[in-house]
Amino acid sequence: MAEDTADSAFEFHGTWREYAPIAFTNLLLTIVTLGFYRFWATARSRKYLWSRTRFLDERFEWAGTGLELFKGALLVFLVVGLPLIAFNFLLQRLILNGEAGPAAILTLGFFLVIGWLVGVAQFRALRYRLARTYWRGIRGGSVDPGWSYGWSAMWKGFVGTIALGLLIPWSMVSLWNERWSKMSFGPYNFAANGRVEGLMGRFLMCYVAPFIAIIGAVALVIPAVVAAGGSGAEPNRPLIAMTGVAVVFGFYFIFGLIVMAYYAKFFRQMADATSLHTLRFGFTASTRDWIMLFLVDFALVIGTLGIGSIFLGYRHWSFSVRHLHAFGHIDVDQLTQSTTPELREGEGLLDAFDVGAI
Amino acid sequence: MVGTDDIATQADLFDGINALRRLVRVGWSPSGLVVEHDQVPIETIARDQLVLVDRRGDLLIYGLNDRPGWRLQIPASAPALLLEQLPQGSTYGGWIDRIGLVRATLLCGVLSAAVLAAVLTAPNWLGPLIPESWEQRIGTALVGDLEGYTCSTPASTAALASLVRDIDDGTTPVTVQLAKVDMVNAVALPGGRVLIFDKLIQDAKSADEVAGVLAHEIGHVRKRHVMQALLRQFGLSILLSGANSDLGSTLGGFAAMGYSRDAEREADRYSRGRLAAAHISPAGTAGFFGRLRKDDPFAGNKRLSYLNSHPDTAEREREFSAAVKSAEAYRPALTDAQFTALRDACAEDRDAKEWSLF
Repeated sequence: MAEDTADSAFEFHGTWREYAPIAFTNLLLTIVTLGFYRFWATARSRKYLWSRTRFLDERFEWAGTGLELFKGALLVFLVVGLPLIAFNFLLQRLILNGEAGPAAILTLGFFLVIGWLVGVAQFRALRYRLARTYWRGIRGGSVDPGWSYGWSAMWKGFVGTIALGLLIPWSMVSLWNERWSKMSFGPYNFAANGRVEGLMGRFLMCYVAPFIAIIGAVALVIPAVVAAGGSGAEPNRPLIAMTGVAVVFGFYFIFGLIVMAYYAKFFRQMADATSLHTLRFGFTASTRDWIMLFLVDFALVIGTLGIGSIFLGYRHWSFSVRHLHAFGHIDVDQLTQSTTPELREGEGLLDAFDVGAI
Repeated sequence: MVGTDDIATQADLFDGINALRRLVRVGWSPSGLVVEHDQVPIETIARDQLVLVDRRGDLLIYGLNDRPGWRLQIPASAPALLLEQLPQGSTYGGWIDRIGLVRATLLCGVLSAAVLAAVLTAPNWLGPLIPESWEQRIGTALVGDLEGYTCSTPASTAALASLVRDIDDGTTPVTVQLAKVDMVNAVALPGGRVLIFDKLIQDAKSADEVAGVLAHEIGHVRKRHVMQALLRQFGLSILLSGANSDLGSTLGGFAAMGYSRDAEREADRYSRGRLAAAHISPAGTAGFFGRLRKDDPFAGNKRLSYLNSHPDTAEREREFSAAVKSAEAYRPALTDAQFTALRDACAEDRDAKEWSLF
């Protein structure tokens, strides 16, 4: 039996009104438990979002639980958190005793370990999410525990950053390919063959952005200063201050737009280059879509004095699904159960380093 | 047939082995749920093996504890006689469902308030209960051996011992030493150790102000503030790891360990009490704070957590000034010879290294 995919292979049909009771009770319970409910809150949110996301004729299912996420976080606290606290005491002691050399070596080692762990965390979070995502009773996962990906992420991140950061697109593309090539769904491995070509133009614009912003700033400030204080009268301080604020906001706005243009292209290009057996993927969000997403996010959070942030996860999920496409066909009788390890503790490591993954 | 229509229905089954959708007929029998399919043998599933995985609009989705991916989708319109035999799912998770959202919220709120109160107050009552010998050991472990940076000559050791004898009212020993550090400061470290920095001695206008500052630091030791600060930070960092997953900021809070304002005031009160008992004038200490206020050398000096800056020097100057009694016949804290011995100690002690990190 084969299922052909149409253009709208993915569809999200959740509603705000259905999600709101989940979001508000999650917030309430998270507050009264001093944050400990957030693991169960995450599981409830995902269960809803996954179950309202259709691929072909069947919805996804999130099989992860709050307890798993809690165990993951607890494990990370014991294995990473407590040693870090001990490390901090040791560093204090070394500084107090004026031992600059050992303190510097220890600090360097600390950053190496953290750098490695961040990569491991990103890999393991993706692996966990796939392993707990079911479609038609079949799940994904990875046989790779992610330790070596941690090294890759660290050295590629380092190489990407030296040389004025010019190799950052290369490191991002290469890490995307490496990460996804080690993931699987059912019996099939994902394949990712993303390329850097096509990204450099927008990436280089990020370097030009500050200059555009500075030229804009100078163009704005000089007339303002001349108008305010040129005649020898008392300088008009509010005007100068407002100009300064406008320049700072302008700078971040222009810079943000250019970075977003890069990311928009990055995700489109990478999704296009990613496939699963006979399925190819596509992502259609344009720079404009991303800008609208974040502007509305911003308005939502500011306009509700922060409460609206509980809907951000929903918005981002629905944004992703709306723009995600799949092409090709899939043989459901060939799509057999994944043989990757079943995972029973959550993405505590990613949580601990607070790095978002899409 | 698995049963009559009032206790049976059509359902979709995914077996968790491949992604095929199988149309089955399910019904209830005394031994459990009977699943009938025209190509595979009839199967009977005990009730305690079944779990309700999700409610999805018009579908109820059941899973099996020991078969990941096995999913039975029963229409919500199935006969009530059948549905009431099947397990119910959870909404908020575990015991919250059992006692209800409102009661769970109230219970958690009260519990959290109690935990918060305990963590915030525990250091104050728990600190003094921890034997000073333990604190000594913790102190040695955390602070290490600072001997290389301490200065002493026989005369300075005798002078310090005499000063400590006059102003300390405790029974267990405190270790007071001069340290070759180029900062106007003194610190109380874990383990009943007080370090007076050489720069403070050099800048002091009289031995009286050294006595006031020393009495303040001994106050931290005697009032168990050091242990309290350690406990508070440890408790808070664990609590914060629940509310805030970001290890970085938790560590940041941990590094910013210091005494509370109340502890500083208590140490000041102790200092004034001890100065009065030893017939040493608090005017010198008031003068010290007066100079600090004009030129605050502590500001920004927060690299070391133990060396925190103290609150509001103007208030402290006032309180020490107010403690001066005009009728009292004060005596100098040290003889001129003793004070000179303190001043010269770091210059004369050839073994002492200047403390600096870089």
